[in-house]
Amino acid sequence: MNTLTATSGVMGTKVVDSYVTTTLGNIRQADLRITVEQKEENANVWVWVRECFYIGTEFPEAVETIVRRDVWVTMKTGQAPTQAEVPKT
Amino acid sequence: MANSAGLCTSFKVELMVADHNFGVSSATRGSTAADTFKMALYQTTASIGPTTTAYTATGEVSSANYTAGGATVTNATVPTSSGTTAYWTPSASVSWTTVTFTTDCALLYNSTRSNKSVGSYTFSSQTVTAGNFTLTMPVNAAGTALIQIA
Repeated sequence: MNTLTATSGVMGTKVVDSYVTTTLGNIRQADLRITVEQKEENANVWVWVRECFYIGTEFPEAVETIVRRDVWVTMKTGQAPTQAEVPKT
Repeated sequence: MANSAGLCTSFKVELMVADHNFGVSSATRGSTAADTFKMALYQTTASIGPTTTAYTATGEVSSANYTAGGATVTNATVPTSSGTTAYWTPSASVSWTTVTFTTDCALLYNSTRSNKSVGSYTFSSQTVTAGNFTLTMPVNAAGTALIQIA
């Protein structure tokens, strides 16, 4: 189980619980507050972070703690060091 | 020490002696198959950088679902050039599923050729917790490709 795919009651269909793999095990998505942050670190790197905070009642000690964190690092460019190494005249 | 980014100096020299083959043919190598390249992730306390000559397990991240040595990169695009720049980029993202670690550096290396290093790539410290970590590759073009020889 490793999904964050949302389900919904669109068009009158029954809402089905989705479960998410976390440090607490598989947790209902409804028991998670999910935040997404994206930022441009610099000209070369762009980072996208998704954090899941537990807001359920089964694990009171874990409420409002991060129980899952996903990271995407996008390298917008590689390196062309030879360009920097060659002094411009 | 800290991790730093750049094509590895040893890689530049090894290119001149046909040590690496990103394509599917090589006039000077017996095999016409491309080498296998891998990407390994390192902790923020590691010392990976342009002076790294080969993959090392020292300072590498560890986690369930992360195998030492990292992951094989998908190589479905042969090297090419535009203007005076030769370039190559893996043809797919590299990702790990349900892992827990903190990293700020990835090392690309040639597992076919004694794990010789190619380049190191850095980003800000990122902690993954029971989640997925994905390295998305740049556009394979001059000016953006992962490896560029200009």
